[in-house]
Amino acid sequence: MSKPSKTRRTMRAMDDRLGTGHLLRNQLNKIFPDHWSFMLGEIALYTFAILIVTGTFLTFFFHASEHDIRYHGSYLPLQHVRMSEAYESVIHITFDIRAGLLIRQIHHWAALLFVAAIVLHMCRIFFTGAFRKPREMNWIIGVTLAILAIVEGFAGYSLPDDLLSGTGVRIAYSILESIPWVGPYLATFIFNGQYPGAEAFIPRLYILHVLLIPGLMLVLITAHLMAVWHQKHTQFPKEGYQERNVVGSHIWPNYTMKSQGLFFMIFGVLALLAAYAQINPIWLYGPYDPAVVSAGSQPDWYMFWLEGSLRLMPHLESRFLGHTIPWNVFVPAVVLPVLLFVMIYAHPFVERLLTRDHEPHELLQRPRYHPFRTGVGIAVLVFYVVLSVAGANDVIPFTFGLDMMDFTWAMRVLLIIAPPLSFLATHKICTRLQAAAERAELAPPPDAVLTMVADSHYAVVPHQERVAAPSAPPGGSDSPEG
Amino acid sequence: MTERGEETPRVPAELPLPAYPLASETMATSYDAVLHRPTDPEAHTHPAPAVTQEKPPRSNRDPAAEKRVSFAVTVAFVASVAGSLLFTFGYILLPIHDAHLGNLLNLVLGSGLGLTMLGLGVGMILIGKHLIPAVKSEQHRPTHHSSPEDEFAAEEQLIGGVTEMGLQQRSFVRRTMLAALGLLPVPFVVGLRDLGPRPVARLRANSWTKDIRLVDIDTRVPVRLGDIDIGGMVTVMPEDDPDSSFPVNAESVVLLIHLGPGVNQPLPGREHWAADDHVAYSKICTHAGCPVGLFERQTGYLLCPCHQSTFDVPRGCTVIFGPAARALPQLPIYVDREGYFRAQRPFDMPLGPSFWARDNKDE
Repeated sequence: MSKPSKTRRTMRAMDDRLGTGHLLRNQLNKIFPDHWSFMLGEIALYTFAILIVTGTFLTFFFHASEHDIRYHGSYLPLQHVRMSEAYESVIHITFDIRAGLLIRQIHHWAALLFVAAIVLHMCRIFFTGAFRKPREMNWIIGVTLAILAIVEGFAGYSLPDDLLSGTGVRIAYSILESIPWVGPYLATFIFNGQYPGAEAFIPRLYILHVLLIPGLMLVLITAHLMAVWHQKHTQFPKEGYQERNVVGSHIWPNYTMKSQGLFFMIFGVLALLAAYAQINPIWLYGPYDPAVVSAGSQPDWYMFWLEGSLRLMPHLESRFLGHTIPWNVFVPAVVLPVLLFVMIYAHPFVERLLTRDHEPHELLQRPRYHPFRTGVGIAVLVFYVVLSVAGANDVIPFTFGLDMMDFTWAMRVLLIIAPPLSFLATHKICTRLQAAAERAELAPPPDAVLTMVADSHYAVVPHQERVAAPSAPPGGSDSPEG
Repeated sequence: MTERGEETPRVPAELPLPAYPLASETMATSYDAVLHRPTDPEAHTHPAPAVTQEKPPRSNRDPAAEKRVSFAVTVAFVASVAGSLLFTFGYILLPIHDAHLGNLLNLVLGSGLGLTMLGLGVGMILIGKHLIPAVKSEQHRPTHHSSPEDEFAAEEQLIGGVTEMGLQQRSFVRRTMLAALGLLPVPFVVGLRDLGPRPVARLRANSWTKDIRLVDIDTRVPVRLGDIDIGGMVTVMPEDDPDSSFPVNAESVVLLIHLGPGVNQPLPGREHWAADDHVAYSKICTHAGCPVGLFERQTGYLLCPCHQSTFDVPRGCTVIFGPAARALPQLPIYVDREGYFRAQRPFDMPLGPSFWARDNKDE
């Protein structure tokens, strides 16, 4: 009678051209399992989107140049100070562009949250065994994304060319140089000579930061999500949850509302952080000057572990046949991270070799039911945390009145003994929890009572049955069937 | 639509849930919509069995709770609108430079944007969690592998394509094609050669020369005897450095330290490298290239703030702790007749961190 609604007409017009009806009919019914831990990957995805939006705004004003100028702008404390054009443009964004400071601080907070969400998401995948067949490929993509996120973060906070980040770039140059044989070539090729001085690094880093790495990440995130969508989510084993089904809420409207709401919540929290919590105040650090460094120089949190490994490494260097290998830089800053990430990449395949489990798995494992894996994961995390804490071997001893050398030695010892100890402890806790769970399964329900069901026969009867008993015909309990 | 025997609307009997009373007619319509949701031929999505169902939240069952949630959602969306307005008017009205207000603009814009986003977020999540019927659904998860026929057909097509090209027999075609493809990346790698110069010998890269004066790096004034108190230090660079434009040749930066009488214990062969209790050492850490800058007068230790390498200044700046493997290179200095500090000669070793060809003086 009446004309179909506008929505229906639009959908029909789309379907006439693209045949979207078939696709939408199936996909709008997609089911997502409900578990809070599945939100971590979403947080990473949404912070990435926020980073793209805020980062694009910043590119309108950022000037990627190491060219040397003197500052004559509205920020008085830096008048006549020598700085690079890059640094000047960030000062300009901060003080002369309305909402510039806000967007810059949202961008920085989002970057910190982005890497944090990725790390937690990885932990969720690892400890519940979600990386097992058929999801090994997505583990590889995910680990690659984690590495890219860290590199992207480092590139991003190095761009303003302030004192803190310039020192970090100087260290990065030394790390490149420390690689045997090819290191000096890599360093001078990437930096177009020595750093600082060649004025080539910031422009190169910029195109890496705004085009190459985010472009690659976008491709990998797309692949990551397509695989998740196609394979469907894993779910925790419970009654009714099986290998061949997915139980949860519809993508439309339940998940659309919850997930888009989450996106806006994250954006809102980041905006409030940017309004009320200062981050990376480069105008206080001053421009990069290779002759100056401030005490208490710490990078962003996700670089703490590398900072710590550089600080804990004993002073080893070898010279032979006219060549020098600076182990004190090469091992902590190149060998260690490469080894660690190779281990992480290889884990699904190593575990498959050890367990000989070649079956696909759609149901997750609770960490306690896989004590070995959980122990290894905790040991690696403890190793990572000790390194990260060691990255503050100036600030922590200073704050608590300790001796820096004692503290460093303590961290060196801890780095060796804490991971194996935490493995053993975790293993023990897992097996105890398993035993406790088994006991709980065998034990009667908490509201059960012991009742005489027949002459000298006693049974544990759940509460409900006891309550229901009065409605049974009188005398019925005297004649138990069978 | 809903069959209702009582006055209160209830969960439709066909849903695998107990027949809870529902908060309102609207909620009953929502439950009805779930019940009548079309399924899909691929995954057969349907309401999940009763064992997986959880008790719906109070907002689904209790009229007062439902009203509260609806009200909260409305308030959240109104707050979002207010946030957008706050941002817009703050942007237009507030001054960008205002010494008295400090960063008021940032606070207002951030609060506005935060409110915009949080309002929308809270509203949408409340809808998703409390106003939508809490009915769990289930769908079939197909196995990931294809049918054996599909798999075999795909393999046949891929391998058959190679057969169609006759590559097994035409070995020259095959090998030359592989060679061409294998060499394809080479021009792209070679083309990167001009990214930067070959590494140069660091010995030549530092700009200290014989008899050059030491100038304060900030003021560019030559440093004289008496300028530095005992226990004090000044960061210096070579005077008239052709590369003196900031920040070129950063590795030539030197620390000139006044140790006081009798403190310095020169290394063998360096007895005459100090001048009137002043010593000069490269400021660039031999570990990772940070400027070492923290000098403790009492101990005579020089500390790198980046990784805490600690150098013993009175004993030739040798490493006593931390990751640095080598002492800081020493610059031999003297005081001329007018009292200015001058370099006796350039450094005799490369400055800064170690690298592969450090000892190769020709490269």
